[in-house]
Amino acid sequence: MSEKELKSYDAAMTELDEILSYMEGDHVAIDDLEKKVERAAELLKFCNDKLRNTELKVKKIIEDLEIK
Amino acid sequence: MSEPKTYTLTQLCTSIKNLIERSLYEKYFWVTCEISGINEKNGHRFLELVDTHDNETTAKASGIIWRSTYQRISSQYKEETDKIIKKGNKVLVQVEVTFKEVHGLRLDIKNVDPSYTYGDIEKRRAETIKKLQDLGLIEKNKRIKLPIIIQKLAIVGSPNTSGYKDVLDHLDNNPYRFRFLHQLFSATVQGDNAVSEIISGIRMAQLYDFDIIALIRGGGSKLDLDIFNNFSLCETIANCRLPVITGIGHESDVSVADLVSNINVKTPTAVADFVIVRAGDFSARMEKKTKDVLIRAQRKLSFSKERILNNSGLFKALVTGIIGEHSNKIGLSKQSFFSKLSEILQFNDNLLKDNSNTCENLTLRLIQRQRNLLSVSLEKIKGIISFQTQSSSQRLRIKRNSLQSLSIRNYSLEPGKLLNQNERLRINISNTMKFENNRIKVDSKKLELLSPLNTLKRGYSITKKARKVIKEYADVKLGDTILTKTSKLLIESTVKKVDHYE
Repeated sequence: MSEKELKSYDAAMTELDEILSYMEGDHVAIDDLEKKVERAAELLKFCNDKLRNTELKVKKIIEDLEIK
Repeated sequence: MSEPKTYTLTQLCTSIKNLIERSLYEKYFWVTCEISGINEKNGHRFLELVDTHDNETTAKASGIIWRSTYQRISSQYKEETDKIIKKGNKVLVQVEVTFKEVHGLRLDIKNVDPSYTYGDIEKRRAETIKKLQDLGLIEKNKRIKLPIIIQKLAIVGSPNTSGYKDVLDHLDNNPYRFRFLHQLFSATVQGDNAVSEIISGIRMAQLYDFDIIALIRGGGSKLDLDIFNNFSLCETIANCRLPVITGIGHESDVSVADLVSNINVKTPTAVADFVIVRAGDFSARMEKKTKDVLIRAQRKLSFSKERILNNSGLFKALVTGIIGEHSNKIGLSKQSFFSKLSEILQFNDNLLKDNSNTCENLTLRLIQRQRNLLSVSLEKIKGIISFQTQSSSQRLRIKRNSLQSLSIRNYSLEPGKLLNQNERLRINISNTMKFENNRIKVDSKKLELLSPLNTLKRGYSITKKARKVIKEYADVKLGDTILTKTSKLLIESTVKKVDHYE
């Protein structure tokens, strides 16, 4: 799971939608269920982290900007 | 040639003044013009008024608003006054033409009609919109997709305004505790430099990795906000690489900047709120979806559990059924097996009985035959004996006779000898009898020993294959069905192994 890189909110949202529609289907393997729930939680965590924490990269850009 | 009449300048100016005052005294005219310059001194406003046509000055005049007049106008139009009577504005003013010897011609402004100025703004605004439309720029910035979350904001605005401070306050103290990144690109939002500073602010900001550029300006009058109708500024917004969100404080009208921006909201704080709500909405949606995933997972699990339970019940019933069926079958098989077995046993029993009967009969017959033979022998022996006896008696008689005759002649012959001969004959016969008797006894014993019944009784068995007794290695092979007969049982078996043994 974690090898799938988390990049953007849009991607997270899309993936969540996919998971949901997959789970609405009839052919959900119980083995998959655990993975999907885990992934959903992971996506949520990613988004929350991103929302609530500063991205160092951009911070740096801003800092560079202020030096000028 | 007479000298031409000369006047002093004062004389000339005085006569012009008189001329003007005579014809124009207390006559007021409504005049449209543009204010090309303005100076204030002791509360009086000294104006440069021009009229242009196709960018060429067609008329020029000085104007003055006396302090008292200005105060009167101000009481009517409040703060708007300064913005109407402002360099660059087109105005409709009521003037009285005055002429002073020292200052020359001057229009004494008595009143202002701001609607003309507003109308001019509207006209310029409409022109800007038309131009942007012709260039296809109105929708250009709107076509940029807003990121689902706006987290990195470039703010173009003036740092020391309450609008900017409110934006920061809203962003930094949002109820969700989201972290937003914001960077100010300072630009004055009023005055002559506003347009160029805002343009350079936007151009600068779009060089960086921001989600949006927020263009903010606190509340202002229609004329204040006229800079946002500036064509160059709007063109810059339209062509901006990043989506521009405008939060230009005004109540009724929408500026052209608002029209070309990606999103426009009413106030600077509304920009912050828009961004926060968007993030909060995303977060809520995210949580809802995750919850949905969980709920669905739970539902799926309980469904599966139920199915397993149902299945296990079904399975149990099925298994019980199958087991019952099989045990019935086994019962039946057992019954039929036993009845078959007893049938076979009965059959073999009968067979054995028959055999033993046959055996017995045979034995009896043998014995009878032996007996017959024996009795024949006996008869023969008897015959022989009687013959012998007779011949002996004959001979005895003869001898006796001859003896008699001899005794007659020789009476002294020994009688003992005769007795002895008789005795010997008797012993001979009895010995023969004894011998024959013994032989019969031995024979019947032998016969008894030969009878297979007795052998079986002793624990031996006869093994047959297809009614043939198995003796040799060649008589039997693997898989053959063989019948073993014991004294009481008949056993059917299949050959698994055949070995020689010593």
